Amino acid sequence: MRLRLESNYNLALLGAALARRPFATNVDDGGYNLFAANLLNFDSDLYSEHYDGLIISLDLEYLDKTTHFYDFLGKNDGEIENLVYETVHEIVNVISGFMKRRPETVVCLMTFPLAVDTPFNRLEVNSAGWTTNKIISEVNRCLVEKSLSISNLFLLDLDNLIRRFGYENIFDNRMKYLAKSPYSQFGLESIAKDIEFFFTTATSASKKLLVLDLDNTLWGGIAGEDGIGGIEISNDGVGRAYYDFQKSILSLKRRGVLLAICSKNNEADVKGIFESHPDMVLSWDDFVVRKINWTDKATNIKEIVTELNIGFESVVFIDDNPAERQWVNNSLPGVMVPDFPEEPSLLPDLISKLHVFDTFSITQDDLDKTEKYQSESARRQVERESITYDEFLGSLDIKCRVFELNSEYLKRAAQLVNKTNQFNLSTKRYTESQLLSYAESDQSDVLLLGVSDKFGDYGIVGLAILVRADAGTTVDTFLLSCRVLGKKVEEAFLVSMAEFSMTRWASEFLVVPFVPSFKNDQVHKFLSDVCDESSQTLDGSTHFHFFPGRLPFPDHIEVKL
Amino acid sequence: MNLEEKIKGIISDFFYVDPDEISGDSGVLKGDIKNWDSLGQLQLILGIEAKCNIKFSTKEIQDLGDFDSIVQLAAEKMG
Repeated sequence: MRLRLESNYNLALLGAALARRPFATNVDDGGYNLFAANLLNFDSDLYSEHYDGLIISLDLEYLDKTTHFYDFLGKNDGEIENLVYETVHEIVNVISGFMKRRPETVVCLMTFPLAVDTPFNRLEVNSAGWTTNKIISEVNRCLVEKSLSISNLFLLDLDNLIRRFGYENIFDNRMKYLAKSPYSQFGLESIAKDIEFFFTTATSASKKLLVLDLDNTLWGGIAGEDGIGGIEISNDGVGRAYYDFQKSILSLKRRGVLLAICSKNNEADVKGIFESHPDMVLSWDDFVVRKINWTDKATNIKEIVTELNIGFESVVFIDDNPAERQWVNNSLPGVMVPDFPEEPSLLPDLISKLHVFDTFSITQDDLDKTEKYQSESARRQVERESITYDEFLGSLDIKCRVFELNSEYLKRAAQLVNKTNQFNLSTKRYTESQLLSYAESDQSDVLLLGVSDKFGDYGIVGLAILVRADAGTTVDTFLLSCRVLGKKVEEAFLVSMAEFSMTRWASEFLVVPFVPSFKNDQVHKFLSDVCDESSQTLDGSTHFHFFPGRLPFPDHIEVKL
Repeated sequence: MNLEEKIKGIISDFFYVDPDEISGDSGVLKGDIKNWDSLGQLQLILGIEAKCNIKFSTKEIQDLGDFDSIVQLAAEKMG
C-alpha cells in the first residue's frame, strides 16, 4: 500500500516504523505540523500522488485551543461545548476537503488518547461537570458521529492500544521533547502494527470462514475417550475458558463469519455432545459444514471450501494439534493457521487478537450469512434428486428483482464490488462514494440484483454499472456472487440491464467490455454464448455487443424491474 | 563481541551500511552515512537502548555526537 502521514506534530518516526512492515510499499511523511496546510493546499505534494491510505494523527496539545482542555475551570458549559464543536468542525472540514478530491483514498484518523496525568485526576470520576477526559471523550464521540456519514473515513482507537499495553509503555516523554513525537520505540511498533490490521480490514481482506477442530480446541479432552461426562467445558473453573472461547466464536458467527467443523471423530460421539451437554455454547446448526471423519484435514478443508465456493485465503483454521496445523499449513498455503496457546485461559482472546475478522460495518446480509449458506445446502439436496436440469431450475421458483442503488444498500454494494472475483466482468473496485456518484448521475446508473427461491432469500447478489454512450450503453461493471451462478440468473440480469438501458436512454444495445483477470474466465464464456457480436480493441480486450432481442428472460425466472 | 562491534552491528542494520564503513567520527555532523540525520540518530539511540538494555536521558541524547561518543556513553551506562 502507498501510505501518507499527516499530523500537527511529527509522524516521521511512526512513518519509519510503518515502512519496516512489508505491507507498506511506500510511506511518505507530510512533514512537521503540516496537516492543515497540506490538506487545504491542493498544490501541495500530498495531491501530487494518489495514495491508497492517509493516516492522520492530531495531538490535542498542539491544537490552538487546547490549553482549554486542561484548563476548563471557570468555563461554563456553553463555552466548553463550543470548544468541542469548533475543534471537531475544523478537523472534519479539513479532512472533507481532501476526501472530495481523493475519494478512493482510505483515511485513517486516530482518536485522541485520554490523558493519564492531569491536575484533576480524582475529579474525573468524582465530579459532575466537565473534566479534561470528559472533554476529550466528547471530542472523540463527535468525531465518530461525523465519520459515520463520510465513506472511506475510518477511525483508529488509539486508546484501545494504550489500554492494552499501558500508557507508560506506549509513550516516551523524552521523544516528545527531542522529536515532537511522543511515542516510545515499542509504542511506534505497536501503532504501526495496529495500522496494518486497520488497512487489512479497510481493504476488505478480512476472512470469511473459521474452520475448527473439536477435541482440546472447543472443549478440553477427547470426545471419543472421555465421553460427554469427561470433557472439560463448564460454567466454572478451567472449563469456563472453553465456554468463553465458544462464546467468542458464536459472536463471530452472529456478525457474519461462517463456521465449519473439521474433526477426526465419530459423528455420533460428537453430535451427542452438541445436543446434550448442558454447558455447550455452540450448537450443531451453528456450523454450515461439518466434516467429522477420519480423512486428512487438508482434503476435508478443500471440500469445505469448494462446497461454500470461497477462496482459501478467506479461511482460518484452528486446531490444538501442531501436527495437524503443520499438515494443513503445508498442503494449503492460502489458509491461515494461527498458533494455538497451550494455556486455556488465553483461548477466549485468541481470535480477536488475530484481527483478521475485524470489520468496519455490519449489514443485514452479514447477519443472515449462515442461514443463507444453510438454505444453499438444502438447495443442493433438491438438485441431487431432480430429473433434468431445466426441470430442476423450474422447481426452484427463482425470483429476481432488479432495482437502482439507493443509500440503504450502499454498504452491501461496496462489499460486492470489492469482494467479488469470479463472475466479475472487469474487476473494477469502487468506494461507496464512487458508487453513489455513478448512481446519482443521469448519464450512468448502478443496478442491484436481489434473488430468492423457494428455499430462501439470497439477498443482494449482483451489481451492474451502466454508462450511457453515443452508441449503445457501456457496461462498466457486471458481477454476481458465486452463490447464484449456474441457474441462468446471469442471463436474467443481463437482459434486465438491456431493458433498463432501452427504457432510460433509448439504447438499442449493450457494449460489454471484458477485462480478463486470473479468475473471471467464466464471464468470457458466458458472454461468448449469449452475444453474437464482439470486437477486439487495440489493447487486446474484447468488447461484446448484446442486443436485447437475442435472449428472452429465462423461463424459470420471474423478474421484477 | 565487544560493545563497539555490537553498536556497529545495530548501525549497520538500521542504515543498511557495511560495518566497515563506520568510522569513529561517523554521524550526523559528518553526514557520511545515508539516512543518519538527527531523526535517524534518535531512532538509532532507541534501538541501542532496546538491544543493550540501557537508557539515556533527554540531555544525553540531545548532546550525543558521533559514533565514538555514542559507544563511550553506552559503555559508561553498562558499567
